[in-house]
Amino acid sequence: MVIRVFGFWVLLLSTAFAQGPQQFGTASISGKVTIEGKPAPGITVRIQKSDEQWDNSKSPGLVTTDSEGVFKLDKLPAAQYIVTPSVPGYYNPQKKNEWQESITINLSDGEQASGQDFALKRGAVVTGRLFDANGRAIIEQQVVLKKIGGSKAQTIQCTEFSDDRGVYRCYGLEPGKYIVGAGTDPKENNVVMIGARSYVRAWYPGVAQEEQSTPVEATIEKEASGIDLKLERKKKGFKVMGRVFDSDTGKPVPNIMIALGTVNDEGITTGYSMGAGSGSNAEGEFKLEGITKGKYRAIPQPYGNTEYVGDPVTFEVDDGDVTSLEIKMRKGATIQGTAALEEGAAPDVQRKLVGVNLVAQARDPQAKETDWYSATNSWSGIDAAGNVQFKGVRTGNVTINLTGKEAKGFSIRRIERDGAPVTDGLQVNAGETITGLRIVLALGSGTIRGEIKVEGGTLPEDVGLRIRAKTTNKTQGDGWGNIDARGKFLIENLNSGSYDLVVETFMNRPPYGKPSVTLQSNAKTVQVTNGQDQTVNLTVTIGSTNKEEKQ
Amino acid sequence: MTRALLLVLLLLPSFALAQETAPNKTPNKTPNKTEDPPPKRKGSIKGKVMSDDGQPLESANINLNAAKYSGMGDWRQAQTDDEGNFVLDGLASGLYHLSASTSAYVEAERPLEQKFYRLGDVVTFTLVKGGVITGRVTNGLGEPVIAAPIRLERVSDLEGRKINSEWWYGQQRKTDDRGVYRVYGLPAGRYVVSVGGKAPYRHGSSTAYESDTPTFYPSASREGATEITVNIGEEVRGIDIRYRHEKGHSISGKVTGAPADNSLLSYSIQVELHRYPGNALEMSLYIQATDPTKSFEFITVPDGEYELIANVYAGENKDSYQSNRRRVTVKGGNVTNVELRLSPLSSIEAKLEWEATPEKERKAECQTTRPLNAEETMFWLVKDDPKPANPLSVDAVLRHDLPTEKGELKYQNLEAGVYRFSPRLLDEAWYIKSILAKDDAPKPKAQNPKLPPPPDLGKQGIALKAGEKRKDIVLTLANGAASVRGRVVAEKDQALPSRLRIHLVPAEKEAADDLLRYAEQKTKDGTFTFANLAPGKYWLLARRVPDDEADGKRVNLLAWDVTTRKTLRAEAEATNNAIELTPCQRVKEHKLTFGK
Repeated sequence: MVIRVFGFWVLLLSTAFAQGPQQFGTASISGKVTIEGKPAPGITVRIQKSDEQWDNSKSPGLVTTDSEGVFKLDKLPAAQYIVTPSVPGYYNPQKKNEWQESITINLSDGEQASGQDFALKRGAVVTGRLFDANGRAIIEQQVVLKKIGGSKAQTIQCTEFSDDRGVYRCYGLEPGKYIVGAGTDPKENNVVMIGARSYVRAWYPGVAQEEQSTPVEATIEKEASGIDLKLERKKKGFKVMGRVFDSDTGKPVPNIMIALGTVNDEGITTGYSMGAGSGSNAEGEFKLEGITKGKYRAIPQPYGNTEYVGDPVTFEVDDGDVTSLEIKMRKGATIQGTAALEEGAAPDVQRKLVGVNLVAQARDPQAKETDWYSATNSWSGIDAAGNVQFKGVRTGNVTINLTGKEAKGFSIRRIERDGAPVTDGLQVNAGETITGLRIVLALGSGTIRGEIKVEGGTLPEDVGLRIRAKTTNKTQGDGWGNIDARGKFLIENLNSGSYDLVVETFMNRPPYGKPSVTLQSNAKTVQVTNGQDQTVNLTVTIGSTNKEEKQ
Repeated sequence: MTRALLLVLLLLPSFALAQETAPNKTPNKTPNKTEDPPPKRKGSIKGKVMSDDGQPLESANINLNAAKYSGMGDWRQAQTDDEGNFVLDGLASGLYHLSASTSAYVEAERPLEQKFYRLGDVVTFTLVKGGVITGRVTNGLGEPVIAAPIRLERVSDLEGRKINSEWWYGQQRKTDDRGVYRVYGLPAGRYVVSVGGKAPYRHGSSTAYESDTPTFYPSASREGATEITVNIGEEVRGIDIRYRHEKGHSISGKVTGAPADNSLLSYSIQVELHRYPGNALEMSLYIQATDPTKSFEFITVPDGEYELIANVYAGENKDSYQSNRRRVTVKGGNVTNVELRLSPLSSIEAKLEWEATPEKERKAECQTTRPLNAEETMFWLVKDDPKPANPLSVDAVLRHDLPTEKGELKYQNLEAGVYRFSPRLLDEAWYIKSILAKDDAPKPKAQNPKLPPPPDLGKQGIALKAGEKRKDIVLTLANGAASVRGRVVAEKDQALPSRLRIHLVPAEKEAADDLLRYAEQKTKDGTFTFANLAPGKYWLLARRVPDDEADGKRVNLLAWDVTTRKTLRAEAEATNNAIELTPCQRVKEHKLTFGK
């Protein structure tokens, strides 16, 4: 039906019962949701492409289970999907860690992936009240639960914070024994809560050590109620004050926001906060309040002002104010140039370049390589004429990489400056404008898909598998893909060349580190050609664990 | 990096300056412009946060914003100590906006006008425990609806007067495993409560209920919603909702008109879906500027009338881009192919000029050459929209700026329309004499009498076209301003209405259309203050505020409308409460009888 709305012809489509993602294909995903063994109708299952998960403008596929608890979403193009049923109040005994409520599926064209079932169980409830030394209600604090016994070490955070009466209610819990706590533990938190009302971590009924806490039994039959917890206010903390200035001229630099990161024992920034609301004023002065004892990194954030770039400063708060931090800023540099595809690329591929993002990264030479927060990034897109411009680039050695989902499949073949190849990054000086940069890109369109079989035992629950296509060619990156529950994998947008397919293990829950298992016979060499889609199957054998090797 | 347009647009309700206790002491000579500006004074603002039962509120959050926003350096946060005290020090002189908040508490009463503070001020905030609404959500079978988001929208004040509805942005609460929810810390008013649907601002995790349209208490769409009255400190129970699984429809389209030079590449395009009439936000989303298609889709939209608008921040000191406002009706089907075309917003730059009274002509004390303290002077720019396309639209568009030391004012991100200046001069010695377009500013001597007079922008207002950057406005200030303070009294044996609007109308016939001479003020206790007035003869008139106008609603001067102005003049002349103001006169206790 076509109607006229304010002078525009619009087509009104009939409502679809299930709304799918935007393109159409021939594959499908289906399964059944049960609760306590009985079919669960009316449950919303969300099926979304994994690379669109955080894309606010693209809507996910949403499908509702029918009276038999069955759901199906079809007309799907081949891609990697995340399937998540939304059934709060119930828990999934299958889930491997607290984030994994979903199933990941690598779907091929025309594949009908059925049997994606979720068997959920009604959860237990723990409820009580948080109060302080004066008996007053503690509002908006989060309660955590640690399950004791069993093989899984799990920390669960209650979804809702305590209300105005101090009352909290944790539901949908797997039945078992828990210790119940609230308040902040500096080692645990990723976010620096500057100035917020905070309480010292304590465990029910109000003890400092986990071992001293009274365990709480959570069962389906009966709510564990009256689990009231007393908390102590955290000490107010100290002030951190300093000055932001141009290290070349000595003049103050205003309007630089100071973010605070927490630093762990290895010197790596683990948390990050923009709080405490202090940007440098006209004299370059800033003040942060409520900072408790610990090791921190003050990270200058020029927020839209790309004129200056600054170095983070590591410092410690012990038992007094920190009064004279010096944040040195230097005039950012500008890098200009062009980006183009390799000679011989098809014209429609050339157009795809527009919208691809590049990032110029300058690492703080004193920070460790794994320190995510230590890089200063400047971004540029590629416009219709192929122009590229990075502003506010930090002094030092700068590497240029592709970034963002539009860059998928592209790789940087080589970078030249005024015709000469750039192999180890650009040397950038303060305030400089570098011109004549040429970035040559290639678009890969080779695909490898297949199935991984695991032999010689079963993988522990806390170990996941992924697959990497390693290349020795420095001008292109590795490809990689994850392996879904059925053992299927998908690696896309590989450039023509030779790759070593390697299956890797990783820890899928804290404390992340080296997995306890190794794999044998887990590699295969594959030739990839652009435009080609090939299937490769691998068998991996579980090797001896590290523990056994030590003996 | 992304930057929401909301950070740039400062939409504030009307305000009044903090009570002035002592005049500003500045050196009594014209500044020598070739010298370096004197170093800024530094000082602090301190105070206390208490609850209405006299108890201090510790760990309350204090937010400080400089009135002259010039970047992140002007925003500060602090917390009250165990006695409820706070200090913000190391502040440069100027005007500041201050607010205090703490969980579950609200302001005791929203001031009619926003207050600004200066260095040395001591501020006491009194907060009260907000209201609570609690209830249970079940589905058609009586089963609990679990972890469904609860949203509240304040649609009227406590007396039932419609306000621009405001989403309650407190702690986002969800129903628990019994379907029970509890929302606390609510300011007094009338609310509609809904469960499910999409959040207006998409952040945080998604919920199972996003694919439905929201269900309103007791079990209705928005039109059938029952309003709930909540007072501060009150707990309203039993607000049980029977959930309806209703699907909405989609609105999809694309955003066009982004400049080809990719200057906006690092910013996101925000697309907003507002309910019409009014401006309440229903949903919003972001598009990456790098997305070549710039397509968008709103899903689960309930039936109704809407207005779509897209905008994107373009960097500091640049005007943002905004699209046309696109009206859309959703009724039983999807809407597609909506195009929102971006174009740059407009701006106004104005220059202040001071016209000091020549030495020989000075009759009164305030007619000195004392310069204006720029950092404590504020000018409002208001959009004059006599017949807004959107009835029930937001309170009149209002921006403020403080002049630089050179007297420059800048207002960015304006839509096309007519604008007027409204002074908020702290220094009572000054008034706005004229607003002219620079090229037509009168030459001091040898004016050709045959030339038409320069357009009087004080009368006409400043017309701004789409995308226009006007830099030609000159605001001339003269000293010798007068002021009138007083109160309204009732006729004997009559009761005084609690809400009054006081009008100040120039009595001279020639000034009938000189809009710079008109002033208006809403008052609840009958007192009024008019300052920064050009000397001359005036009438004062008190009128009742219409019953359906909410206290907080800011209304542009009624006198700006030609017909209303005529009526006001006739009424003012008839009641004839007249006053003759000479330069620098300060009338302290003028009595105005409420006539009708």
